[in-house]
Amino acid sequence: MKKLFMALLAVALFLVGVIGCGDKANEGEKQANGVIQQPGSADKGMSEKLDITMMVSTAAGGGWSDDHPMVKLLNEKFNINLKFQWVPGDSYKEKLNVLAASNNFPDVFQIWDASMYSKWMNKGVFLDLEPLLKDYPNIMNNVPNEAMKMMNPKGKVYGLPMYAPAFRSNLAIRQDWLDKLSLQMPTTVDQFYDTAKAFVEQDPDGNGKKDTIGFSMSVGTTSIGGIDYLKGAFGLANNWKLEDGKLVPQQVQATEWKALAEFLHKAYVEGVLDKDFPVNKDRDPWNKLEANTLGMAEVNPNEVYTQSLPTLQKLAPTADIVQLDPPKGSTGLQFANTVTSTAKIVLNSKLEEKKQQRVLQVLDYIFSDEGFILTKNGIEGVHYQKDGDKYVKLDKFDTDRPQILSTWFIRRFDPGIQIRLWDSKEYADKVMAWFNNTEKYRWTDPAAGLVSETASKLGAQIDQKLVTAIVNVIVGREPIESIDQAIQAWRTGGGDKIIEETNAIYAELN
Amino acid sequence: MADTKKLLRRGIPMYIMILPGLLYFLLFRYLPMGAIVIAFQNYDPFNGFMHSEWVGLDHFARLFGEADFWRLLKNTLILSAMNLFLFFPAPIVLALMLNEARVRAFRKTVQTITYMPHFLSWVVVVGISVLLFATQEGAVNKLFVSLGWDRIELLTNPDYFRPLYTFMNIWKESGWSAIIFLATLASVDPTLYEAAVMDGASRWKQMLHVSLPALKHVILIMFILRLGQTMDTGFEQVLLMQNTLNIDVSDVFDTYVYRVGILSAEYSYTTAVGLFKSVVGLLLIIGANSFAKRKGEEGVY
Repeated sequence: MKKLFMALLAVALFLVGVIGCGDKANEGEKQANGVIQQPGSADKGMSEKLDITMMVSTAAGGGWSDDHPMVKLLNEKFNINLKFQWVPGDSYKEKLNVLAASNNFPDVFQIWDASMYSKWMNKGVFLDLEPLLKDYPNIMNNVPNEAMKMMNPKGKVYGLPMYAPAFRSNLAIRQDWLDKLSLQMPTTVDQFYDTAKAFVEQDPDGNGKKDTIGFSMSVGTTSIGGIDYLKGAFGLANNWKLEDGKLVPQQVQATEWKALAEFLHKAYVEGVLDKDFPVNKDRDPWNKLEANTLGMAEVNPNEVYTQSLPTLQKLAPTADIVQLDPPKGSTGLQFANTVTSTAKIVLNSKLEEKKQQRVLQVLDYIFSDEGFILTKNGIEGVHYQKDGDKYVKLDKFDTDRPQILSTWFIRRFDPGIQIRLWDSKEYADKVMAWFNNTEKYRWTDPAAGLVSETASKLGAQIDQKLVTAIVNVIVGREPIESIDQAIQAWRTGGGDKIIEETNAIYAELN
Repeated sequence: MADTKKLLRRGIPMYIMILPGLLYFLLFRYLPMGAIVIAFQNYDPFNGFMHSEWVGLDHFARLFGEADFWRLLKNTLILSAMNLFLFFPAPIVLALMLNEARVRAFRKTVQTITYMPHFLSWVVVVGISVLLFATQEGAVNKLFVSLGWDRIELLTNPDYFRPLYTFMNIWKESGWSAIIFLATLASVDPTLYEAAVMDGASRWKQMLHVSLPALKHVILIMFILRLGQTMDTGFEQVLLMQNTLNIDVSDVFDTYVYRVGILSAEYSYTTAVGLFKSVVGLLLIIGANSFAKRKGEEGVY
């Protein structure tokens, strides 16, 4: 009996200990929250400290820690307790779907996928911002009306559009390789092919080995990436095109696909096209350009002088990357990779009113001039300082990376989102020249953001089969005619329904 | 009657002690199984599974009617068969060979080296294989080109996928899996070997008639457990090795569930696929176990 009593006592003590600890921790937090009161924040209705969670999709390098100076600054300014969830871009969609399965979203997050946006919008996951936005002039003045309305039903705004430079992926070529082989800048698709071939066979890096590649691309689960300039030149649509008032998807353009596949097949056989393309991920062609093995690839003008060129010049000190206009197709078509951003920043519809306001205050601040300078450059005195009439970057900028919020999450509508205070005007002009020059090759998608129900259900699966068929033709494992059958299969497997539904949505909107 | 009561009472501290473990299994292993119901619904996370529409066996009907079903089944079974007949014997052979090595230092070194790869994640192993075997930039192909040979498309040619898959499995896991067999061999009574020597058995005969029979029981148990995993082909490894060109042979139930379930958010349908997989695995275990018992062997349970 005594033993039993002791055992029970032990268990009871253990439980009390655990529960007690939890309580104490909570109390401590509550007290701390009460103490840290920002002077002056009460008058803006910020007297209560709120927890705010934001989920951000990240690229190379990962996010901030919770005690990052930028987080601290925002926490103090708005009397909040910001919790960022940094999710790698590759698995962001997966993460959202997992969160959806338990219906448990953060306060503010991004939706990159148009079909996800429309599906969840109808489920009431996002907060309608329309009635609230009038109190936030910085957001209203900065975001174009058209972008605000896109993908939203009339009179509703379920998310703030996330800006993306239309020509973020811009074709580039190694000028020093051209010079070495005394070649002209290619202007047509044929010249493009010859240049690429020369890059493979004439040893442009001068190491005596045939180890360079002409051009490359990547294969995702549902599309072939990195060769939009070729797709455009061969007459393919940027997803959709208008023909006699009807929308026609890229997937059914059999003649164009076959011509492009034939071109790529020849390039593959002759070693002009990267043999690794089926296993390449999105950024691999760009990586290979930076690794001094590839002659032409799409790069980001905002990063070419700050990242690509310095990386490349470590391997080849005389290397030079310049913009290459999209090559002209046989019928004179010339198009550049053009992105219409369909990404949205959304607020959780479950937010209580005071939290809605606080979140919008933070977002409005980031859209303001002051906030824009802060999120692009960091904190004055920590990440940069003023030196006379010039600005100087401090070392902390590179280690803290205070700019990631402006590149990954909340962007003003401004192609110079990555141009800093201390960058020279000359540099800024050089970057903007890439964007301005590409404007004449804009490749519009008339149906951007329109998502039919069948497309979101079956689109990925049938696209994947079509891509598989095309890639098999490119590597020569299937005859060219198999593309016809694959397109037929795409149509019957749900494609025809997608065409019908998307046209219906389009007709309704226009 | 009083005795039973007394016994029960004496057991109370023990029951309290197993309570946390019991709770753990109930809470984290058995309770989540309840969510299997979504395989029979059109689960909508925003309605929860109390209010989602009930569709009965619709999702199973869709799976069996799917054009991809037979391809998935075939790929899964072939990879499993390769695991069972090529990978499974590898650690046994390795253990027998190590057992024959008489120099202790040598045996220990080899054993350590062979089980090391177990601690690498599949991401690293597949990454290494890309560095080695990529068609354009891979080390092996660069060597081939410099020797004037043709490139070999190890990663993208579907013919190489299955051998490469099995080879990577053997390289990574056979050392680790050999541990249990080595432990069994270490416990064999040395007098058995001595007796065999007295009878004039060679090293080969000793292995055949002493070592191998000693392993028989462990091999059987491992085999039955392995059968239960027939439908699991190593999700991470297959997904990482998969590309557009080999998808015809590399698409298995696991990768299909990932693609359709997580990427296209069809929770109910893919739960049904997962359930189908588990049921097949369970049937195989039960079948193999009762077969083993009928043959007079000890089963897993």
